[in-house]
Amino acid sequence: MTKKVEAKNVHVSYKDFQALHDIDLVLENEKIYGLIGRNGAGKTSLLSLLAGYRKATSGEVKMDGEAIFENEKAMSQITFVYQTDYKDNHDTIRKYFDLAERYRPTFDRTYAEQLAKVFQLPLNKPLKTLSAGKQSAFQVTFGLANRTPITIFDEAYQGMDAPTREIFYNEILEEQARYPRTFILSTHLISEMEYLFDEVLVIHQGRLILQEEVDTLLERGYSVTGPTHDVLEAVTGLHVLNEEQLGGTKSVMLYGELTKEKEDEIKRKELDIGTISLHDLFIHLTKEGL
Amino acid sequence: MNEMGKKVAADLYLVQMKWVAWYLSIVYVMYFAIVWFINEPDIRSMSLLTFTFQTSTIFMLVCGILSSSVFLPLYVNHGVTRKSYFQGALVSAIGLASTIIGLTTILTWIVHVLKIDAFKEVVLSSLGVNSWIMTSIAYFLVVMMYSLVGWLIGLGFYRYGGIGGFVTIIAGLVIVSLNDLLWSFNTPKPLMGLLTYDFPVPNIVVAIVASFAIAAITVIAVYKVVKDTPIKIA
Repeated sequence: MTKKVEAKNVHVSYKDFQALHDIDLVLENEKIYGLIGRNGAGKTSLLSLLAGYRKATSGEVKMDGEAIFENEKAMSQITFVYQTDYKDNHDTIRKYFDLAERYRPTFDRTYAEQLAKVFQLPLNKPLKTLSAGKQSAFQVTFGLANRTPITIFDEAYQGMDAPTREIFYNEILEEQARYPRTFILSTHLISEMEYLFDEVLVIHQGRLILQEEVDTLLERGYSVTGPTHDVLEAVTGLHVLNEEQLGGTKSVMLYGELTKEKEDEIKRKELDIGTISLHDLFIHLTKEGL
Repeated sequence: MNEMGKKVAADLYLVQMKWVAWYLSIVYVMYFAIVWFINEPDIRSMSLLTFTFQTSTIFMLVCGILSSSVFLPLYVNHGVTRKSYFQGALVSAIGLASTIIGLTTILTWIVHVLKIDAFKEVVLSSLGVNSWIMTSIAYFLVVMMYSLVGWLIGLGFYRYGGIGGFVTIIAGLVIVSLNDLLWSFNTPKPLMGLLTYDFPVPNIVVAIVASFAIAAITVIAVYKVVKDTPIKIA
């Protein structure tokens, strides 16, 4: 079920506001992608394009070489889960399962019912009576059990408590092992979800500023700590993301490849080289852009 | 129509038929209660079909409005294209309008055949006492027009917001007025009990053809709006 999703030179604008600029990306090989970006960065606009929810103002969004927008074949293979308000919805979860069974050829009802049990979801109560966390759990159930080759969760965890989120994350990993597919997870909970991602996409002010495998990305971010003068000398010419000063000690956060020569120089000066979390990298990368 | 469109048509028809079942039951009960218990000549001369037709215009307008704001996002979320939704929703609207008018025509005919005393003053419609087919077609067309206008207005608000929605309201008023005008030429104001003569066929044919043309233009307008509509995300 390998599916390749591509965006080429994609722009999206709403009246005078340019939401996405010149997006180029390729998503393939049944990986779990983490999409991160600050509020209003364009995450949902990008996901809407990938799900066929809107048409790009210009550029192409394709799956296996065919445009996604208004393509029955492509649309049937994509599930888009996003925060939905069910406060006026009288339908039950069972009814939604019936609908999914009818319209999604890959929907697994047995699995959906198992998940509903795990999330303690009542199948016969109107959705409007469920708490925000339960409504999110319902959405997640629906997204996982659809088993479409492309599954998108846009901040799907909202309102869920920590144990429920943990169940959700475990299910993603287990599902990926059972039925490999492409997951795209948009999130603000970077530290919590980091371990799920194979690749990370960072979107900032409507531009995709980075698409990298998580391990590579983490290797490219590091910190150097030691006496101020030595640290400043060692980091000259490098891409500094952030600096912190405590008395005579300076800690500098850097982004880029650490060459052997530079590493030797830092070690010669007896400075400490440390790692940076994805969370910190994200904060500083989107503070200034790349 | 593709397979997905057929599925949507069947589902939308069944869902909305539940509303129709409630609506028709209430309207029928009201009609019989009014005719039996209220001695109002205007009502006593009105047929069940005409009585139902008048309220079903508004009922179908509301169904049309809901079609865009509720069902379009629901089906796209289930992997259905806008085109299939459009086909399904159009066919289901035709089905609903036919069912409402068809069922009511049959019931009205049964009442007519039974020759019950309380209904002896009843006139089928302004098209004539025995204009069963013409009346059904005319009422079906007008009811469909309201449904299409509701659909257009719902989509206008869904896609363009307040100002765009307002523009579709104006467009809707023009469409409905044109259609009314068209039928008024051939069907003067329904002064029940007076207009028992048949209109010349060519005029009715012209009205039907022109109504079809207006409906077709409205359907095209709906499709033009729906085909690129972005789905809203809260």
